[in-house]
Order: sequence, then C-alpha cells, then structure tokens
Amino acid sequence: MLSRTPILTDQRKLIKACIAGDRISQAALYDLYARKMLGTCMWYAKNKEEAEEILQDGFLRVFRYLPGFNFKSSLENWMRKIMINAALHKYRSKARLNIVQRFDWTQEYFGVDGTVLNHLEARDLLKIVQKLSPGYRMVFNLYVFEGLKHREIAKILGIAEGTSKSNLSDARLILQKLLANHNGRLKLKIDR
Amino acid sequence: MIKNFKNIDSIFKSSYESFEEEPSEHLWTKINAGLDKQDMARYKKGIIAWKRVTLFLIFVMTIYVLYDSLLRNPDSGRTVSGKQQSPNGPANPMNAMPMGFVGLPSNGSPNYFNSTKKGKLIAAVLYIPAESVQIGAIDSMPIRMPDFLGLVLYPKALNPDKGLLENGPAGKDNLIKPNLFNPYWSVSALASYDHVMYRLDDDLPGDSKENIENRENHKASFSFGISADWYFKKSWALQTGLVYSHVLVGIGPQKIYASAESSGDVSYRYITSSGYAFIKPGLVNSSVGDSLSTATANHHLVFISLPLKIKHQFGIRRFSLLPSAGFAANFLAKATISTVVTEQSRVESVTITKLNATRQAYLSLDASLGLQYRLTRRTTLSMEPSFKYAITSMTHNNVVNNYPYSIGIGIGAQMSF
Repeated sequence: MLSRTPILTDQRKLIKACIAGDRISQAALYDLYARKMLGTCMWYAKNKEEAEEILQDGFLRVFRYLPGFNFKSSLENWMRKIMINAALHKYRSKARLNIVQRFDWTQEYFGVDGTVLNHLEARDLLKIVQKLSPGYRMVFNLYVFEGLKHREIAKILGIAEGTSKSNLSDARLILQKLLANHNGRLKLKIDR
Repeated sequence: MIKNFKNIDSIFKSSYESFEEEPSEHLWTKINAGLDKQDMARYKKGIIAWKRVTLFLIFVMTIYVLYDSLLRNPDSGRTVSGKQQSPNGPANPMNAMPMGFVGLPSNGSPNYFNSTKKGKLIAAVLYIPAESVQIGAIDSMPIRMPDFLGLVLYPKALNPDKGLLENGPAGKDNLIKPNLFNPYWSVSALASYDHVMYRLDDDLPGDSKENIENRENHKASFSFGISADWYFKKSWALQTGLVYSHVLVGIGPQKIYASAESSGDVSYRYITSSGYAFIKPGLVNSSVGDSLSTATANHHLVFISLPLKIKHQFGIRRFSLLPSAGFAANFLAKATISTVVTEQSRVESVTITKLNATRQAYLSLDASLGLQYRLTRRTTLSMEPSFKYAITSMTHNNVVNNYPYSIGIGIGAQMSF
C-alpha cells in the first residue's frame, strides 16, 4: 500500500520536521532554497565549485542551528545570513583576507555608459564581481549587498576600518574598469 | 567614469538579490552525507553524556549506600508494619530489628502502635505488662537509650493485635516468630535503550543478503513497558508484561525495478530485510523492467512484546541481583518506510505503510540481569542489561529470513504489593 505525503508547504511544520532530523523534510527545505542560496554564495565565491562548497557548509550549518530559529525574521533571510557566514568562514580559514597592499592602479578615465550598464545581465555582473580578489569582494559585498558599516565590516573581517574603506574604494574602481572593458565588448555586440 | 557610485551599487545589488543558480545534482548527496556525520557525532555525544550520568548516579548511590550502611544505621530507613514482612526483607523478624533505634519523636510525646516511623518504639515498650523484666530497665535507664529494649520488643510492639498484649510477657516464643512467606505481586516500569541487529538468511532470489546488509544500518532504538512479577516463592518470580519497542533502520539509496503484482498492476518493488512493498510513484508510467532511484530511507518498526520469564532473586542488603530468562511473543504493530523517489530531476516522497512477507509475530528468547536497589520497603530502582534473540524469523517468503536480536540497557522502578 502506498500513500504519498504531500509536499510540506507549511513552513513551520517543515522547520519542525527538519529540527526533528527528518531527512525527507531536510531534503524538501534544500529543494526550496538551494537555488536562491547558491545564488547568494556565487557572489562570495570565485566560481561555482567554490560556491557549492560554501552552500554545502551553509546548509549543514542551517540544519545545525535551525532549533535556534525564532520565526521572527524570514527563513530566507536567516538562511542567507548563514550562507554569508559560511562564506566568511571559508575565506578566514584560508587566510585570504590579509590584504596589505593596495590595488596598484593608474588613474585613467573609465567610461561606463549607464545605458549599456542596464543591458548587463546579473550573470555578467556576477562574473565581474568574481574577478575581484577575495578581500575586495568581501568588503564590497558586505558594504553594498548587506548594508554593513565599515566599522562592522572591519570587525567581521578582522581588519582596520581604514583598510575596509580603502578596499571598498579600490573594489569600486576595479569594477568600473572591468565594466568598461565589458562595456566595450557589449557595445560592439549591440551595434552589430 | 561614473561618479555616482550609488548607481553602480544599486545595479549590482538588484542583480545580487534576484540572482539564482541551479546547484549540481550531487550536492544534496554530499549534504546528506554531512548530516549523517553530524547525526553520528551527536549520537556519540549523547552516549558519552549518558555514560557520565550513569557513572555519576552509580557514584552517588555508592556513597549513599556506604554512608547508610557504615556511618548512619545498618538498618535505617527500613520501615516495618504490622501487616506483612517486606518482600525483600528478612525472613526472621529479628533481622528487622532497629539496632540503632533511639529516642522519642521530635515533639517528645510517645506515639503508639499506629506508626511505622522511626523513633516511636518507646511507646510500644510502655505497653509491656508490669511483670516484664524490661519494664524495670525502662524505669532505670535514660529514656534516650532504650536500644536493647527496642531490639527485644520491636516485633511485638509493631504487631499489637497478636503480640505482647494478647500473649502476656515477652518470652522467647513470643519474641521470635518465623515469618511465613505470602506470595505477592510487584509491578515495574522500565525504559531501555536497545542496540538492535539482525541475522539474515537467504530465502528467495531477488536480492542478496549482502546487498541488504550493506545498505541497511540500525539506528538508535528504544523500548519501554510495564511488567508484573508474581513472587510465588521468596526468591522466585514469574514475570510477564507489555513492552513497546521502536526500531529504526536506515536504508541507503537503491535502484528499484518495476514488476507485475499478482493483481496485474505494474509497480516498483522496494525490498528490505523485514519485507517488501510495491510502490507506484506518479512520476512515470512504468512498464515491467523500468527502474527508479530511491534516496536514503527511514524504516520504522514498532513491536508490542509479551514476555514470560522466570526470575530469581539474590539479595545483599539493599541490593538484589535478578537474573531472568524466558520467551517473548513479539507482535508487529507498525512498519513504515519513508523515502524519496527520483526520476531525473523530478522528486517524489513516498511513505510505505504496509510490508509484504512480514510475519505478524515472531518468538524470541529473552534474558536479562537486573540489579535492584531497594529504596523503601515497597519501591526499588533497577538497572537491567538485557538480551533478546529471535528464534523464529520475522519474515516469510521474503528475499531473506530476518532474525533480529538486540542488546539493551534499561532503567526502571518497581513497586511491590
């Protein structure tokens, strides 16, 4: 005899089942959020393989810390924070954040056409961000995406507040350069 | 150059918020393996914690027993009444005498025969007729030191109906009477952690026992129940009761194949050590020979057991050792399997609630070695390692015959009537 269990739509029930260690519910939670969370991890990693490592660690943390979820915030945001923490942990463990040298850089004029910028797809922008060094990428992401202050970023990454500011500044300039290069290629495509 | 950084930031941010990426197919398998490791680590931590608690309890009990036996009173806490001797108590009433028994109640007033509490023996002594030798002793001795009187008169004093009041002065015949054993019942509640395993024998073709053994692993199982002991002799009892057992078996991923049922329907056959089931996922229109993959599954088995055992009791002070052996009829109350069936990228969760080729009951040998500590005359605490071994298979016409066995450690409490 077979009875099919309906996909759990009630988030609270799903979370409780996950806390109880029900592997099927855990798989269901993974199915629900894996795409979104991997999307987040991609911005903190240099490629998809690395992002999947972060996602794997992140989901293990999610299931470990789920009993502490208080239902006050949305589960998605809570999971997103855990993924970011997993990403930070990964980079901290590999000591990739010790950025002591500033970006060597000649001031030049990078013309980035705002109209063309709007044609860029999210994946193009992601690839550009992934080209940043890990430290710059972390500071840029935490400041721009997560809205953290330099004081908070400095504390999280274990760097000086000034370093955080300069890293952000450098990251933005690099992004502009990369955007300009991308812009040229894209303009050609549009003109054709 | 774009001077307005916020413009760039907002474009990146909107992309960040909307961006999604499809994970690789094998990623959940890795997470699943990670979760298994986490579970195992948590399980080991739990075992260590229980070991610590057990050691602590043993330590505390040892200290208490030593204190109670050596420093306080050899027989303190032993309560007696006029009705019946303790089931675990001595046969000879002299053994129940309060050797260190001194003093009046805290309020200083004597209390008469209606009490079983300590410190109230003096009142009993006061009922001794005047010609009794001990009366003079009471008059001449400080009232705080009537030990030898208590030693002599205690059994009679506690049984005023048939004691000294009727039979006159205390004499040897009155003071020491043999205690005739009355059969009695005791009821126990026991909870046990069980480590369940099985012995498989090949039965029918379809899958090998090695494959089944490789993909199945028993997880933490437990049982709890009540038992009734009938002490037909002082140290011998028959035990029966009802025991609820929950067994959890993890089943690894496997490929299941479509075959025709006896009704003619084509279904996928899911094989386990305790039986098989036909499942019909809605993912595909199946024909004989098609295959599907299943993810890891949790297989729950619930049994209600009816044991019948004989038990012997060895007692040393408050401790008793109770080896027991017998049989148990184990009735299958529930068998479920929860798993996920995958077909390419589609997933469907299925719950199997009925297994074929599973017997409704099987017989097992039951043996245990209980260690009891008597808290009061009627209540005892016990710790009981146990062993069960199936002597009949729990399956019939399955690909394997399944003989489960288990080693358990239980704790419980017993009350005598």
